[in-house]
Amino acid sequence: MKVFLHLFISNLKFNKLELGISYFITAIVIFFVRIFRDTKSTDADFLFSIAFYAMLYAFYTNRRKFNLKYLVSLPLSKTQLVMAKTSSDFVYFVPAVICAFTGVMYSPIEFSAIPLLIILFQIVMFVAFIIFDSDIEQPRLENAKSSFLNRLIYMRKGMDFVFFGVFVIYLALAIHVTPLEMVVKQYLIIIVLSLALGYKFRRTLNLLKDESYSYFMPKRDLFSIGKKISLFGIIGILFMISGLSMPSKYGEDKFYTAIQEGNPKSLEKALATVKEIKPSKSGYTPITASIIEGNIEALRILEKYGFAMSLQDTFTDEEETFSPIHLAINSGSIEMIEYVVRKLPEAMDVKTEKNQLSGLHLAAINCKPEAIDYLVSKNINLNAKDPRGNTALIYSAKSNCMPAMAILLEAGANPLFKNSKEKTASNYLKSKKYKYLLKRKELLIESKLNRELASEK
Amino acid sequence: MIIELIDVDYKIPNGDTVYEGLNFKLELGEFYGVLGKNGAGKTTLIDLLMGYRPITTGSIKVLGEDPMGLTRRKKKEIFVLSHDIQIQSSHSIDNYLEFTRFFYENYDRVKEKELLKYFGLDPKSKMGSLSTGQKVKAQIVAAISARPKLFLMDEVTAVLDPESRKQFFVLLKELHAEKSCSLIMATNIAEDLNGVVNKVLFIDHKHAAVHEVSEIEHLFNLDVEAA
Repeated sequence: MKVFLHLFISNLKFNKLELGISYFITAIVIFFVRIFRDTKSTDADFLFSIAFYAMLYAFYTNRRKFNLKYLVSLPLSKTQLVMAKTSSDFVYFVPAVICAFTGVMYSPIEFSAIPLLIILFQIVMFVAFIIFDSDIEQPRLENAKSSFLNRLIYMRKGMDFVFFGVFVIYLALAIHVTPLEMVVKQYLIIIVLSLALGYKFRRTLNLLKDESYSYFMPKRDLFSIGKKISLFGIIGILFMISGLSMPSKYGEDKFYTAIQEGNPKSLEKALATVKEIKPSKSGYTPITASIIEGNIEALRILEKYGFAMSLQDTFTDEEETFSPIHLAINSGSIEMIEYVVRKLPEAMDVKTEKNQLSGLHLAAINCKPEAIDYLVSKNINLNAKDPRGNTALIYSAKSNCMPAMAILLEAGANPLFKNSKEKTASNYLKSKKYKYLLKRKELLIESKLNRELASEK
Repeated sequence: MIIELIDVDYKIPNGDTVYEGLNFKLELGEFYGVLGKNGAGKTTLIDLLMGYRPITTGSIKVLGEDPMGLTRRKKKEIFVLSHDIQIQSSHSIDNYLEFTRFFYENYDRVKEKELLKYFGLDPKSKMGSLSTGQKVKAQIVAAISARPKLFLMDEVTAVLDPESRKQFFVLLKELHAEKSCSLIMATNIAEDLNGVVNKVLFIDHKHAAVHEVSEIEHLFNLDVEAA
């Protein structure tokens, strides 16, 4: 124990500056995530920034930990050696793991966890290889101070990192802003990072061949790798259990976290002592949160504990107030829409407070063809107008949502209706090809109407 | 017996064979030099003795134990000085000595002070600001002050300036004269060993043989013509 403490304290003492920076940055990251989690923080670029800088700092500091050969040469038993290395890894891993897990927890729903973790892992490797890539091992500081040329040499490594690092990260971000499917984007990013790793890895491969591979001992090294992976997992699990920095985006109370995580047991436990629920600081209630998450099980549990869904369960953001049907449509879950309609049949007729949008309008604006399909099957008024004269078809055209337009037209939506600006749906279509098709449909309906009028006369 | 190697074969996992049938003994108070061409396996021998690599076949005993499983009590009696051991640049010499002295029960702080003065080292200097030679000097201070029973040195003299090298060998001679410590020095500078070591272990083509110091000059082919 005495030896372990000596190693642990020495490690902290000798690296206090780097560890201080690392933990300080982590605290700032978590602070900003807490503040901006409902707005900017859910963007993938922010997630990337978190992971990138967290790993950068973790690995920058990690390179200064005890040299293995030095530790082996010291009078330490195997257990003490393992404990010394583990404690050293632990201290350095904590900030990186906290940031990575925070990033994953606050990532947009479209991000799937496994590719995301692969990306984060690749960023770790990528940053590590850049830092450890040593054309120049350790230029003497006193030389760098006295000579401009030496300063340039000293900076070369840093410049390499800046140019290459920024280039690759921005390439990944460029992929992210393309209109591709999220899964496709994720795999493209994985490919880009793999290529970057391959490029940076070439020198390390040689080193591995010449030296490291000759030292490889399956039992020792696989144990070491397993230990590091376990450490990563344990820190993550402890962090998740502690709930320190992962409150739900819906609110601070535990039931919000349970709803977001889809954990019915935790939700029941959290609700057991609750008598009254007020909206959270962000304006959510457990019911609105459950609808947004598409978590029907949570709604059933809430009902069991006396918190049944009603039309008063609304959520107001900066622009609009949404009723349960609107929230269900935005969730994209047909099961949730069906559940809301079954529980509150009158919800179908409810409109948003400010812009007086029906569920169908909202589904058209947000391009939710499956939701439109469902609503159409319920025989609602396809040509209903909002106060500005816009129909669901006009909104579909505005959002360039072809599948929604196809469903609406097939169901009998009228393309001739004009809004208050005297514009039809075809006026808003961006694609010339579809514009032509819609115009053709308009002409067909017009000629049919004219024929009917003529025959009536 | 301090060190005993019997029929040791060592093959780099997934690589070449470095030793075949290596036999070698070191008694208390003896000082052996280790010579060999670049790549012959001098550092590998030190690695095997400190338990950093496992042998393939044969038997190896350091202070009576297998170096891969040396107890802490035995390890306290060994000090390794190697060009491969890198000390964190954020350490000051003082930090490094403080960290190291914790592990050695017989550590002599008075000697440490004397040696710092002897080598002209400022204890407050950071390792990152020292030259390679100065770093080695700081490690020599720790090594001699630790009063080990076995002192392993791997190519540490090449980076020392002539004056420091002379100072270092004066210290080694003193240590050797006390006969309470066994020493092994792997080096590329054959001349260093003259008048210092008892015997020389020469490693060549996977085999090692013990030679007298007087034979050193015949071990290498120095009649090299220009390419």
